[in-house]
Amino acid sequence: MSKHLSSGELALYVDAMRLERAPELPGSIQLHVSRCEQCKKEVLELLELTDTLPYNTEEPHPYFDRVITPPSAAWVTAWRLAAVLALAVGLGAIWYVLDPFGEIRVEPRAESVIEDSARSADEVATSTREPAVSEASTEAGDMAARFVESPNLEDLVGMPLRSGAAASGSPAAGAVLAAPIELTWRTTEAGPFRVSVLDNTDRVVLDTAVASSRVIVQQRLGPGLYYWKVVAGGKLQLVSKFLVDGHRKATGTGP
Amino acid sequence: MPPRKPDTPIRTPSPATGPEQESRPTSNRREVELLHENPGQLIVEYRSMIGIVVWNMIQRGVFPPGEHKELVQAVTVKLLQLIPNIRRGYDGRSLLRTYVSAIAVNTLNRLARGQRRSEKGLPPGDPGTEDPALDLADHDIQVYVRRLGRILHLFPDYRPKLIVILKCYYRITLEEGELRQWYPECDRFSREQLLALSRTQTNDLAHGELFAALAPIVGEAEGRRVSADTLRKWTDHRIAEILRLLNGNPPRSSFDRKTLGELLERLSISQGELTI
Repeated sequence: MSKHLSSGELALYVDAMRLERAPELPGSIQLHVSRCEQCKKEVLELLELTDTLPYNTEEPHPYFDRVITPPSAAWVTAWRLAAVLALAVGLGAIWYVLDPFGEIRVEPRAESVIEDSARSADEVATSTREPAVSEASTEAGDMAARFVESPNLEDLVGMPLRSGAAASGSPAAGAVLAAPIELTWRTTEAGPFRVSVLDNTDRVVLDTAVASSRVIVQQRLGPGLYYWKVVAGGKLQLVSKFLVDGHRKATGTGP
Repeated sequence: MPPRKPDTPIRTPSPATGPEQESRPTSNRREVELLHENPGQLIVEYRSMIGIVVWNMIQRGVFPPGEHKELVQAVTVKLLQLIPNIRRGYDGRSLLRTYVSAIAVNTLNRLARGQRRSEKGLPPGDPGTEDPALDLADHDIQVYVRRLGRILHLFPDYRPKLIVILKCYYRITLEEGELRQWYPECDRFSREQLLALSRTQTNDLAHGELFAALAPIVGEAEGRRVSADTLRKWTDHRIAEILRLLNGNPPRSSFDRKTLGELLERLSISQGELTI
């Protein structure tokens, strides 16, 4: 049995019986009194002992005649706004989590021991692991670095040389090429010619001597900016440059 | 066992012998304001109400008639001491005067228990017993009919069911409204059966047969299986509880199962349908 009625609840029950409004009592009080003989006795006693007291039934009762005011229009609006805001935040959170138009992020896959053991050594050697985001950004940084102009060679491209040699080369400076790369030049000097190809860090990737004024670079060059120079008779004849784009399959000497 | 009447007849206080008649009650809001601003004035205003409550207890034989003034004074002093508790305890749902009268009744009951112990030399905690010889024939039975009507309101959770079962038990003709209030979806067959049960004579149908006939209908109404024995026990418990409430503690009357039926019949006649 739950706690007995308090004096306030007892008084409320008595008021209810005087006003014949017992069915309007709070359900918890009704339920308790139904099951508790002690509280029935107390209600009955109080009712009978105060029976002869004058009772103004016209006076509004603080509980049974309480005015339940509906919420004001301002409150309704505020609640609606709050509801809409909450809905928007909720939808935004769902959108963010699901990311329907975003890039598909590929997390590095942890290969299981079983998979590793099942693979042949060759497969493991040739398999390419999907790069992580950090690796991809590092590679992007490296790739960009390969196209940075060389401070030592850039100024010499297309400039009149102190040797006074008048030479022109093909392809034009800055052409984008792919292997095989054909380099040709014309100069007043006779051969033999020493032809060097350098990357943008001034590292020589090809150095060869030819009798004619033509070289075909068979070597597969990685993407990047390359410089090439021709020396004849101990004098620098020509400095030019070309680009190798890894995604482009070009033939010929370019524009 | 014949019903007994109270030692002192219950009557309303007369202007000559009783306390001063109370003036028309003031508004509850004003009384609540007084409770917080001028509680002394509030208790002074409630003094006549306290007098009526004390008088009613004297009428019940709880206190000797000569103690009225002293009791009113004692309760008034106690209420003044309890002002902080009243301020805290009053939740504003009931009328303040009903709440204060509940506290006054508690105070008087404590005083009465103390008096009984000192008079009879009972150890503390041992409730006093009284065995008043009452004779219902000399008493206004309407007081008890009214009391029974109030008692039935103290079973709010299953009052409609209780009325139907009691009327069948005492073979008091059921009213359609009473039946509807308990079991609105009652089909025609069950309804006619219940009405017929309430009209049979006790000699024609034993209680066992009555509960056997009632149980399936009660089970149908409550959506569960109810056996005749379960229903009989439930009814016995409720009747015993009603009798305890009716006779009071200490007992002021000695109604039994049989005379309870007579009271219920009178109540039905006076009120028609015993619906809410």
